[in-house]
Amino acid sequence: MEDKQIKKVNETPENKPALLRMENIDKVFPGVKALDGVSLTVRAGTVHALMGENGAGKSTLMKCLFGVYSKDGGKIFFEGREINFKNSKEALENGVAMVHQELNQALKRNVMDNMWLGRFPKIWDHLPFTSEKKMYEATKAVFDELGIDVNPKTVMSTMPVSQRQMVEIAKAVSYNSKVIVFDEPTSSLTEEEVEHLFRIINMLRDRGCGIIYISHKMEEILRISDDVTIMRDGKWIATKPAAELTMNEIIKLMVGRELTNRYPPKDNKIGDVLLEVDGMTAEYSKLNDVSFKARRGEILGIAGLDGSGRTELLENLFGVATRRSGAIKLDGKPIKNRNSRESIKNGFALLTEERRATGIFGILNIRENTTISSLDKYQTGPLLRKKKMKESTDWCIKSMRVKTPDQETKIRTLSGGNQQKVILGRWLLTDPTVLLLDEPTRGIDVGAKYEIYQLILDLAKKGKTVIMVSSEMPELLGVCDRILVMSGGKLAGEVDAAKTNQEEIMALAAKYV
Amino acid sequence: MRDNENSGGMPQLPERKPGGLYRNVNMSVKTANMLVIAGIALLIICMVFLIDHNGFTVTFDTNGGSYVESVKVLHGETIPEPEPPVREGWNFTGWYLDRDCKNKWDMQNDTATDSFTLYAGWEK
Amino acid sequence: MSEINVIKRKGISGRIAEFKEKSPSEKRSAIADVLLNNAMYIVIVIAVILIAIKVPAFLSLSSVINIVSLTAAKLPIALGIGGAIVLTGTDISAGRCVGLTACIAASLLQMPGYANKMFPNLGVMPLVYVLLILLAVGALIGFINGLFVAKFKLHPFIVTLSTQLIVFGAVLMYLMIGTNNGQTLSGLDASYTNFVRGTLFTIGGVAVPKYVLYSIILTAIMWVIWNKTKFGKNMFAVGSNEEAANVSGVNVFWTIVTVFVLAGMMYGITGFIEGARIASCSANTGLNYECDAIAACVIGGVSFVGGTGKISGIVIGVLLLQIIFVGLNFLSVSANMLYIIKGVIILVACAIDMRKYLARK
Repeated sequence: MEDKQIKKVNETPENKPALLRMENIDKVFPGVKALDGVSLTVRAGTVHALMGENGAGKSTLMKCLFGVYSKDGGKIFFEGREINFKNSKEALENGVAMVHQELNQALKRNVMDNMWLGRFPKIWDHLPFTSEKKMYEATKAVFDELGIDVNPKTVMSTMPVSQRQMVEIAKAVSYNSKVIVFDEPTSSLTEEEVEHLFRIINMLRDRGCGIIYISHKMEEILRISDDVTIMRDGKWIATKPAAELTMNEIIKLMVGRELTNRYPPKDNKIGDVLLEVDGMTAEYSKLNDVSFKARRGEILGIAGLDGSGRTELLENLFGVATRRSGAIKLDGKPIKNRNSRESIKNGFALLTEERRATGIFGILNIRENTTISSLDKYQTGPLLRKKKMKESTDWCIKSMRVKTPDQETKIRTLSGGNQQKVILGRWLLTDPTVLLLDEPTRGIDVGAKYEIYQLILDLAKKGKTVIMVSSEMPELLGVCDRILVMSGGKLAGEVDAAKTNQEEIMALAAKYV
Repeated sequence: MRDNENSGGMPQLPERKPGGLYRNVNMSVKTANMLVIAGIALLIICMVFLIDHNGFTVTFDTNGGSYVESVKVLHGETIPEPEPPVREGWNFTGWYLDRDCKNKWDMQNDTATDSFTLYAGWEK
Repeated sequence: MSEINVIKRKGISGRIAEFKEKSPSEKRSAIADVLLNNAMYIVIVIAVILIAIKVPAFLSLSSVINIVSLTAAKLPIALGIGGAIVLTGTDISAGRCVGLTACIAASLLQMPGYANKMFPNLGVMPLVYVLLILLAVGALIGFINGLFVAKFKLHPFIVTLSTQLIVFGAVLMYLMIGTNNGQTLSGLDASYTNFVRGTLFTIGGVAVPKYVLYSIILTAIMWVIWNKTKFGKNMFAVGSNEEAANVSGVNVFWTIVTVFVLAGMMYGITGFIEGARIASCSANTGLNYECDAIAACVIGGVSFVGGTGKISGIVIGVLLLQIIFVGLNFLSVSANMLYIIKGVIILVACAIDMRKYLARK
């Protein structure tokens, strides 16, 4: 695999032809102007980053391009002619492809079936028999071109997410796509996989493709993109060459204000040992013999690659995954935490990684979402007291600074950051002493992240123990006191957040891979 | 508890999406609108058809006697008295609602509110 | 976007003001939204108006009280099934459960000295004992349903299909006990029929049966359970997102089991009422009752999306269905033909339910 130059090409010729032009796109939802005259021009052979806080209208814009939503105003030109795709299939056939954040693939089928789904190569054009051989060869050819090392006959479900994403990219390439949209492609990739992805993106750029790259990760954007378009509240804010932008400028444009510090000052005091975990081993995942101690008022980070057992450690600790062995001591007393109810009684709280899948009750309102874990508190006899529940919810909304008109608002209408605050509020109402936070800031915009960090620090200051898993290393370094590094289901090491650096953590994370 | 199919250690997207029975429905709202309109049309057509072909069918089970043809009546009407059936060696005692001949049907006063069967009563 | 999105105005006047601010195209889509989401109600209301014009007797007092009584009789089953639908499940064993409990009630409460008495030596049992027996039978069936759904994660449709068959077999066997030989059970004791069918009060010379009152009490109890208890909140949480509920400390297993047990108890009570109401119980009693109940729930806005539904919606759903059925009966559409209408109504109601889900996705 030849190692192409990853560094950004500095000349960024302005005279490259515009491949895709979206002009003054409007989209109105009942009561909301989701897009207000947004324009986006993607030139051939460039990577165009699209940035904005959650809810700024990035994905709505893309959905208008792919015909998921019909736009209410504006025009889209592709290679000079006006287009109006009805669905993503039509877009794909015309050379506009999207690599989704959430992959939609037939997991039980193999790689090449997924690549050629809906257009299987035939033995002979007029016969209804597909040719496995042709399919294999065509797949192999695309993979070789992109430097992907995957056997086309592998079943999808046996492959890690990163490789499945590669297959999706290969599929886009096999359709001869001119414009490829990447929606948060690196959110579940390791550093190494990100490098590979960037190599492929650079290769596609060199072939004259136009890439639209949507991401929250500032470092990535500055590294890979040629142009950056920033959106806020459904409006176009700025389009600038990436070379002229700094991280702070982008943040300023995105939130409309300047954020000087990305992390609040650390002023929590660490007390005596509260939690002792000894030899935690899981039954159904590869979490193996993990032991650690956590102190009062301490923020303990857990780093590691995806699949290194970070999430599994929290789930086993909280009792929602089956444990094989391991002892937990809280304040010197042995506890069991056999299921979530027992854990909550013992003062544990678990903020899960997948907010939509295992966190919120989308269809229920904020009050129901905040009080669900602490319903016992509001009971008089068998009945619940609405007044008490209202008070608690009010407290949550106020102390978490949740932006919502009232308690009866359905939680799914809130932005990701506000949803996360509501769930955090749910756990604070159970009066926890040990908070287990799994990716507390994933998919949250920059402004809200700061508020979440502040909340975490406030909790630590009150003497609670916070154990926090994160894939973003700067975040761990900025917020935590100590960082445990997991690798291959085992504890690879422990570092002091103030004295370590990303390289040391990465080296530990790769220890048992 | 949790099914940990991904014990291979690779992260997997959660299989359970919110949305209950419709979580795998992937059609546009427009298609759904058409579906609703088509369904409503079907419902109206069914109702019109059934109202057009209305009438309760009263069938007569003669319990071994001669055949009596079923009749159609409307809601709230009495049943037109059919020719009494005949059976060798038996005397016809009237029409009953049940096979055991316990509840007698009064041809003059009882009115139909649904389709049903009348059973012939016999005595030696 | 989300911040603008959450600005809400309360009340009808607010909504009208909001509507007036919209552009013509928005107005059109808003009207289309309302029309499509309420298509079922609109069709039923129009049908009822047309029927009332054609057959004025349809709106007479006796007919209205007939509709109310029928609604009261069908309501408890719908209240039970509603819980299962909130969990995105369903329960198709309801009708047979009602059949079994109705037969048990009838057999235990036949009048002394009746010729075909199933248990000739049994005196008149106190009604309370019978009711408790029926509740226990219903709860047992519900528990089996719930156990298989919650523990083995089988789809409720499959589980309740199986229990439906088992219960039907049990009814047939029960009717063979003693000298009964599968015959229809009738000759009920006066205390029983009076307790259920007796006159609550009369309006304009038309008697309102007592079971209307029982149905109202049950509705009130269910409303309290759904809205004011921990179990109710847990039920909505499990229906909305089972995984999240588990992590949040909800006992998912017991919540599911309790929903089905509660439903089973509702069927038991329905069996008690139904036994006296139709006065002659056979293996066919209760056949397809669950269809009406499921249709009523879906019409009433208990969504298969899970986690949504109101008791008031269920009441309205049952009432609307009974109105349309009685109306069609007045037009001499036979009950056999109504099955077609019921089937189409369930499908259309689901399509509307799905449309609502897609529109807000």
